[in-house]
Parts: sequence; structure tokens; C-alpha cells
Amino acid sequence: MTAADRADPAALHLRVGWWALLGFLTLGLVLEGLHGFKVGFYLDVSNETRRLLWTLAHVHGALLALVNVAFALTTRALPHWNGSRRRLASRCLLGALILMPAGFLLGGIFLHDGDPGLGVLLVPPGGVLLFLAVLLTARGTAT
Amino acid sequence: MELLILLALLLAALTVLARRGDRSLRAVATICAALALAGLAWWRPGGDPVLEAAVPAPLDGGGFVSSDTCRSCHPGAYDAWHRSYHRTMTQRATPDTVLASFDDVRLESRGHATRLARRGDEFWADLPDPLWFIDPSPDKPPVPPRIEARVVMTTGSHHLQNYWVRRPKEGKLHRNSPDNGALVQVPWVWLVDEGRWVPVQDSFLGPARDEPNPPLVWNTGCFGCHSVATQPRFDGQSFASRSAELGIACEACHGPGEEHVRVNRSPLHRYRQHLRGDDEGDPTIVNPARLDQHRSSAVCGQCHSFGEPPDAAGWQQTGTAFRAGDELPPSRAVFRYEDPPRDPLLLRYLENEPDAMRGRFWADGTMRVAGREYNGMIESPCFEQGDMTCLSCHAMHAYQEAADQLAAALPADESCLQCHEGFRSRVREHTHHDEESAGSRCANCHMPHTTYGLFVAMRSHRVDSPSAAVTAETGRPNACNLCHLDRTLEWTSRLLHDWYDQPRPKLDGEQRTVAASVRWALRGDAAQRAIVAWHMGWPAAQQASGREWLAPYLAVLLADPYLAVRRVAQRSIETLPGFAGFGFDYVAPQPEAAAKMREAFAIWQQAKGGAPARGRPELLQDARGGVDEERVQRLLAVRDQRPLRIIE
Repeated sequence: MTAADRADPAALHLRVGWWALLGFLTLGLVLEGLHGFKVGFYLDVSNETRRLLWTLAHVHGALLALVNVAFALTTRALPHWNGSRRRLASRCLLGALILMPAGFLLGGIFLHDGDPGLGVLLVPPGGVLLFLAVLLTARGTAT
Repeated sequence: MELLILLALLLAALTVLARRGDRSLRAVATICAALALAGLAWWRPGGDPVLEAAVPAPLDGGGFVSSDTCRSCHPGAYDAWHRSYHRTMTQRATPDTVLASFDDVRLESRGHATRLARRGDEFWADLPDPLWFIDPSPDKPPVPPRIEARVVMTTGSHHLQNYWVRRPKEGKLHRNSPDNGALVQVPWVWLVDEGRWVPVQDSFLGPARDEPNPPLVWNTGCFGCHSVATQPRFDGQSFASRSAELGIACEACHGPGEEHVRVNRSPLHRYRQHLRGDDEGDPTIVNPARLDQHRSSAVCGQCHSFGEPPDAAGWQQTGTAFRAGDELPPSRAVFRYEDPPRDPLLLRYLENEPDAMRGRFWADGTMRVAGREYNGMIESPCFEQGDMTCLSCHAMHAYQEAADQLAAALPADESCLQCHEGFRSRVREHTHHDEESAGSRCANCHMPHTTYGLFVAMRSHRVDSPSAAVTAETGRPNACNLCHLDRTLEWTSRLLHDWYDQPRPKLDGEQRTVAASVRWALRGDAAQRAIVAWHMGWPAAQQASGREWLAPYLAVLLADPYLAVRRVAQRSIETLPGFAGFGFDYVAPQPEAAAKMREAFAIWQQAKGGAPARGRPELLQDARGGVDEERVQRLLAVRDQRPLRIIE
């Protein structure tokens, strides 16, 4: 995070949000490709957990990217919401954007029968960070 | 649930309408009430209650959870099982499971007609009351009353499919005896690959019989192997059968899963298992691959064996006591070949089926009926002196293809080479055949197709070596002569002596001068004839023996008194040049079969045409390559005509 980012977190979230959206939409295209070419590693019944997890990674990543864009617009709309809580919300949101899709993605690489791999352990902390970010932002809009 | 939602919606709408208030709210409530009423008018109960009431009810107790529960945690294993023929062994009769044509079919056999029809999603049979055929009383009415019954269950889906009905509860019935919970077999079976109906009793290898056989009752026998933990609950009058699951499902091989499910609800427990690795396994469920040799084999042997439950009375009540992980003997006595029989349980069995031993075993004690592979395996040195189990070759989940479920990780000879690694580098030296040829495949020599079932010859699961002495003494065909169909037993005896130092048995003149396959085809018993007929269509044997001389012998077998032999011969003869689409109906009466036999001879002679004559006396050919009819007739005259029934 640069000094400019610290000064204008909206720019950071806009940039991260749009690039993340591009990344996760690309992941969506890759998943469609796996469907199109009937890749067993993704589509076989024995890999249905992988398909679920990677779909979740795609969906969560894309939605969180949009949430980052929304957060940027929110901070622009609420210039008086400033200070440590906004910074904390910003960091939580960035953390969630990394942890949740990464957890689903990694959890889908190595499977234990119907259970995801250990990478899925990244998801719960990511969820907590997202919850905090949304809570802080919601409260920030009330200030 | 749907019904409750509709009723709740209707109630809420009526409550709003009952009050005076906002007009727009009342309008919405009116629309909701109308939708709820329409929904109630259209609502039908889910499932098929008639079908569910007809098949065995779910088992209460016992700790079974069913395959649906296993699926969520083991999708891969579930998928492999779901693609297997084990799953589809017993199914409810629905449009998804019934393979046969029921489009107003009329069938007749042995003076009794059966009509089959489809009504929407239901399948119906109009047939003579099966109870009449089961009734042994001499004073029964001369003609059975006809009943109409819904087909509720199916058995099989690979080679053939059987159908089961529940008799009506009322109406004109034999001895006015209504449905007693028995699932009774429709007397016709659907042959899947041919797409035709044949009488059930003709689908087994057995002597022609003008009288219809009594139909089978599923709850008295078939349930033991075609479903999971079924309890017939027969009280002497009626059945109140219950079953953990129809078909051969997860818990048939892994045991009841309730405790396993309970313990593994905790993700911490599951991940502890995952991270600990596979070395210790999960003690709450049976994994046949982790069991000792005998218990592992018993999982398959509970069904794939010839035997009986020691406690027949208890079996009629609570079904098999065997659970995966158990030793087999307490719940199933597996019969081994004895001559004369001494086992009291076997003697009791033979009271009901006196020819059972001959129908099950070759005289050297090797099983000759399909589906009883466990009996073969336990007689094998690989089992007796080694660690062989069923899983040494087969895999129920990671299999090559569903028909045989051979392990995908063990292609070709790898199953054998796991223990016999030394042969890998000296295949040709050991087999005396080209390395890539069929003669160098372990199973072709050590597990020849000397087992019969479902109109085909199948591999013997008694792993042994070809022996001319065994063939000479017991009539069990040896691997060499089943591939080299044009060779004599003398030829085999000499090579086995030269190559493997086997002692040479004393052979009679015919064994020295006539090709073994020709002897089996002409003078063998019905099992030998069926097996040699199958081999005459086996590509490996045709390659080793040539095809040009086979037709006359297959033609003879087209007119065989055993329908099963005729069918096998038909399939084989159609692989020969000039016989594609030969169009022989093996169910046709004997005179028609004899006519087709002559037609087959004519086709062969025409195909032979101007080919240079090369008479081979061991194939009963004259000097010009024609059939030496006198010698053929001489062998036919001494054919083993003893009745033989092979009931798989």
C-alpha cells in the first residue's frame, strides 16, 4: 500500500476491485472452458466437491471485487467518514477479497473424498473479515 | 411439505380476507388464495405409494443408513458403485429401470400365455396365477386362474432382466388364496443384448422340459444376495419382508454405516483421519481391502459361493447373519466338492436337488457354474498358499469396466505379476508363445473359460495350470485345447510334458486321434458342449485354430437338445465367414433347428467351394476336407446324455 493509497483509499479499492473483477471473471471463463471440454478433473462425480469449491471461489471473488468497488464509491460519497474505523474496514475488505476466494480455490485442489483440502481453512477468517468490513461500513454510513 | 405450504398460504390469505382493511392488500390475498386453491387442486402425493407398499419396507434397526447417506462424503466411490451392475441388481420397476418391451406383448410357452402391457409409468402382467404352479397338490384344478398384477420389481440389468409381481389381494385366485407378501417371478425374462423375451426356465442350461417350472419367490431365496440385509420375515403363511436397500449397495460390502456416520459428523474427526493418512483406516466402517485374507474374501463369498446358511429357519426370518468383516462359516456353509458327499448340510441340500453336485462342479472339484467364484478361488494355490483375495484382481470402485470390475491399476497380467514377478522378464520362456499373443496372457492358461452361466463361458476362478491328466480323468476342458481347438489331447499331453515336465496320462485311442474340442462338441455333456461352442466363437481360439473347419460342429450344436447350447452355438457360428445374420431362432422347435443345421452345412460347403482339399483326420475330415459323417455319427452315438442342469 503506497502513501497515495493511504491518502485516497477509494482509489486503491477501485483499482483492486476492478482488477480483481477481471481476474475472477477470467477464472469464470476458465471454469466454463473446463465445462466445455468436459474435463474430468473438474466435472467427474468424484470431483463434485472441487467443482463446488471453485465455483464458490469464482462467485465470491467476483462479488467481493464488486463490493470493493462499492466500498470505494461509498468512501467517496462519505468524505466525513474518516479515521481508524474506515482504515480497518478497508483492510478487512482487502483481506476478505484475498482469503475467501483463495480458500475455496486451494480447498478444491486437494480433496479428501467429499471434504475440501485444508486450504478451505482460509475461508472462515475471510468471512469474519468481510463481516467486520460490512459492519464497520454500515456503521460508517450512519455517521 | 408442499401440501403444508399450500395450506399455510391459503390460511394466511383467508385470514387477511376475513378482516376489513386495505383494498390492495385484500386483492393480493385474493390472488394468493386462488393460487393456493389451484395448487391444491393439482397437488399429487410424491413417489409411488403402490410400488413402495409392494417392495420390502425399509429395515428398522440394524444400523444401516443406505447409499444415499454415503454419497455426500464419498461421491467418487458412490459414482463408481452407481455405474456398476451391483447397484442395478434389484430395482423398483419404473420407466427408468425396466429394460424390456411391455408394449402389448403376448407370449406363450408350454401352453400358458402371458400378456404384458405398459399403462403410463406402470408395467402390468396378465398371467396364470403363479400359485397354481407352486401348488404340488394332485387335486388342483386343471387350469390355473388368470390374474392381473403390476410388475413392481426387477432383477438384473446387464445380460438379462427378470420381473416380479405381487399377486392380487382379491378376485379369482388359485385356492382363493390372496397375496401373502411374496414377490413372484414373471415366467419370462428379457435378454438385454438380444432385446427379446424367453421363458425363464429356458434361460438356464437344462434339459428341455414340456412342463412349466414353478416360479421363483424372491423373498425365499433371491433376496439373500440381491439386496442388503433383507429379512424375509416369513411366519409360515405370509411375508412381511424388510430390506436395508434393494440392490447390492455400499453396506453389503462395508457393513452398517450408522456409527460411521455419527462419528464422522464432526469435521475435526474427519480431518484428523485425513491428516493421519490411510495407514490405520477408520474403525467405524469395514474396508474389505484392510481385512485379513479370509474376511476380505468372505465379503464377496457371502454371495459368490455355492453354499447354504446353517440356520435355514432363522434365515427365513431374519435373512443372512453375515455382515462385512465377519468370517463366513458361521452364517454360510460353503460346499466343496465331495464324492460321495458327507457334509450333513450338503446332504440335506442334495435331498432337494439331487443332481446339484454334477450341475455345479467338474469331477475334479472345480466349480463349473458362474457366479460362484469364491468356491474356485479357495481351491487355488494362490489362496491356499498365498495371500490372494478377490481384491488381488478386482476393484469395486477403481475398475476398468463395469462388466468384470477388474482393477484399473492392474491391467493385463499385472494381477498375477504382483506375486509372480519373476515371470515378467521371461514370458516367452515360460509360455512358449509370443509375448503379445493370447497364449502369453496368464489368465488364458491359468483361468480358462471352463465356467458356464448366462449363455457364455466364463473364467474359472480356480487358478491352476492346464493338465491333460485332469481332462482325461474328469472331462474338465484344459486351457490348451480350448484355444487350440484343432488339436488332440495327445498333442496337449506331449507339449505339457516337454515344456513343463508333466507326467503323460494314459489316453485312449480317441483322445489321441480326435481333436479334443470335436470330442466335447459331439460326445460331451451339455456343459462341455456349451463351453466348446463358446470357444469356437472366441477370437483367440479362432486365431490359433483357424475358422474354416468350425462350422460343421457348430451346425451340429445348433440342433442340440439344450436350448442354451443352441444359443451359444448360434452366437459363435455368426462370427464365421458367410454366417453373418444367419437368423437362427434357438427357441424354435427341434425340427426347425434341424433344418437350420442342414442350412448351415450347406453354407459351409458353399464357402469351402473350390478351396484345396486338406483333410485332417483329427477334425474328422475325409481326404478331401469334407466331414467324415460316419465318424461324427459314431461320436454322437456315445454322447453323454445324462440330464444336466446348471443353475447360476
